[in-house]
Amino acid sequence: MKSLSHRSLALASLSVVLFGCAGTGGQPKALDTLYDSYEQNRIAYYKGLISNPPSVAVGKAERNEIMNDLILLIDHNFARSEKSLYSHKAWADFGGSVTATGLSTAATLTGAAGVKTTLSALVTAIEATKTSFGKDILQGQSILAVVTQMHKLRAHKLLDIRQSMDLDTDKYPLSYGLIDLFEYHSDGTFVVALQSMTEDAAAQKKEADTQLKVIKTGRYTEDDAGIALRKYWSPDAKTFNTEHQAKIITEMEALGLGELAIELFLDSDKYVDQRKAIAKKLGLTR
Amino acid sequence: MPPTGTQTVTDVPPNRVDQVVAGFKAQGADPVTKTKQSDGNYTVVAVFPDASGPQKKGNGGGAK
Repeated sequence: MKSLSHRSLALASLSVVLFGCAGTGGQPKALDTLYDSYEQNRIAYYKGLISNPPSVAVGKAERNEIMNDLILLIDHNFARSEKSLYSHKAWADFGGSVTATGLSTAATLTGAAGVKTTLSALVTAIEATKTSFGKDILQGQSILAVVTQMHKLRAHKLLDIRQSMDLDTDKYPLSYGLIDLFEYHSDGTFVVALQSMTEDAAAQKKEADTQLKVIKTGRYTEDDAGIALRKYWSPDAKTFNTEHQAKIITEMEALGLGELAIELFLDSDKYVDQRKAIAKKLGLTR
Repeated sequence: MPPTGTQTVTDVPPNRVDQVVAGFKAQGADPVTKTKQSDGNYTVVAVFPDASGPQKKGNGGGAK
């Protein structure tokens, strides 16, 4: 594992180069080539490591170096896929089926054998996981929303990973890190982004429904404005004056309460101020 | 914009419950149910038809 320190230097140097170019509007072709070469080198390295895993336990520093390495590969893979996506050349690149590759079982794996299995699957996923997607799914403005969701998911996951990397290996072993990297990689895939968007939409609808339910529920209360408006709406408490009803509705709509029934509006403890305002506007109270 | 969804008033005094039920029905709620609470007051629940579906005509109590 002595090569780790060399790798670290190489990574640091590459990072400096990359960040130095970040503001120049895209990667130069030479940098792409360098990136690709480095990626192939790392994949070959980890394939070798899988064939001949270290017998000693991986420490915190080594774990973090491996994880940083893999984060770089994943990010590069994502950047390349995103670029291809926008240039409409390689739609399938985002269809990684990493979630089906063994995430669920990886969580139960421990020790060198577990790391080997997980690492193997991860490298395979980074190297060449592709699933066919119809162009019709990907066309139009929705693709921007999906990519935005990918960025959001990846950013959240990376933050989570960075925080975990501060922990010692007894609390956050390499096997856990690899599982997190699986998720980080899959967060940049089309399927996971779509699933997440669907879940977000469902959660937002549920929240909106809950808020609506709260708005449309009230505790009975009586006040001067409510009594005046009721008398205006139904002078004999049996029949309802449609002309006055329309005027009350118009005023309620002006306050954004168009979906409420007049009855709830007159009774609810939540609309005391609005009742006062409308009763005053209609000349029923001072 | 007609009223929509399920609208509920709790703690309605017994001497006001029929008035509340009539008020909801006047704007097309169907069904309107009243349930007696343990404290003797009522909870009135009115269900309004979906805004996209067929609408009932208002003034269920008979307009002047």
